[in-house]
Amino acid sequence: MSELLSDLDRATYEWQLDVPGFGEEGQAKLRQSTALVSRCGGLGGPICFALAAAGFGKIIIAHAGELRLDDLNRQILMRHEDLGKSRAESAQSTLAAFNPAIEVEAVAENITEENAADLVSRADIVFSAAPLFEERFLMNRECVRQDKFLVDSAMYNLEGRIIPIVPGQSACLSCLYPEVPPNWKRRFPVIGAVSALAANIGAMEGIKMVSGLGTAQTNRMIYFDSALMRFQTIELKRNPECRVCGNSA
Amino acid sequence: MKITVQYTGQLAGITGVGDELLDLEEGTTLGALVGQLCDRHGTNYTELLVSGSGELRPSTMVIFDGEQAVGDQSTMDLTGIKTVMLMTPIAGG
Repeated sequence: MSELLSDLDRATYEWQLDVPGFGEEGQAKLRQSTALVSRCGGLGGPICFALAAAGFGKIIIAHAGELRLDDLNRQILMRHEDLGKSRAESAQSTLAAFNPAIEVEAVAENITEENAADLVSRADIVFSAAPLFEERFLMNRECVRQDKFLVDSAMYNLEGRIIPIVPGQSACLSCLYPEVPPNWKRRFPVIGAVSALAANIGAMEGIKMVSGLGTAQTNRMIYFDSALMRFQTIELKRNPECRVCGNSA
Repeated sequence: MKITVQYTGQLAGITGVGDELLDLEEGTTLGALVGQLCDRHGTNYTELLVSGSGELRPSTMVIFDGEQAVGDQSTMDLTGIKTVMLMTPIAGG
């Protein structure tokens, strides 16, 4: 697998190639992998940054809409000069400048019933960072159907939680949340550093899942409260009645 | 028996605290605890946590000492449990 790394790869990733258990084999696995990230805001943006820095071969960014001023407290892939322009294209531009050796595709759409299956089919791993449960459930369903890794990350106020999912082995999002929660609101309190913290934990879980480094926290939720800097891992259980991955699905 | 109830997400915002220590009667069930908490914390808390029938909403996760608790809340005995964590769903990005 080592021959898949170029001299430029070896030079760029020299410091992480030294990580025990990672090496050229782990790097080559990232190089060969495509990640789908939805969306690229306060959470998805730092995920994309971390994946680009780590050397994923391709990142597909799915995010509709144009950049607004009130996005800029957390959406670190964006630039002030891009106000009013496509978020996905702004993120693509930043990532291309940061790591020109990887491929970045901008899809100026959110995840929908119409595009979910196709977008997931083009990825090896999906990072879910959408602010609506409807989009998260679509990604979860398609990842289970297509047997793709999923890392579902979320935050609220000063808290975050990350759920790495291996279909067929670990609880899926619908095991934990069987319905769209009626009280979740699109707008949520957020400081950018908190979403970036959740993002980087999620990105690291994805890097482990793809490369084989360390132990991915599957069947666990990683939860933190940055007000107290309290971190917990919570043991999760699959739901045999789950409509997506259960016995009758 | 003393049990710490830990709140997350919107629940923590409503209660204004991250957790609280409660002194409960031996044999208290999860369902009874939820009823007490709803009486204590008011309408917004109740609407977030339980459905109209008084049952925990399906998407409310209950964690006993770091492990997801699954089962019938009306019969789930809290004896021996040190911490009950109540997690309402979040999806902020």
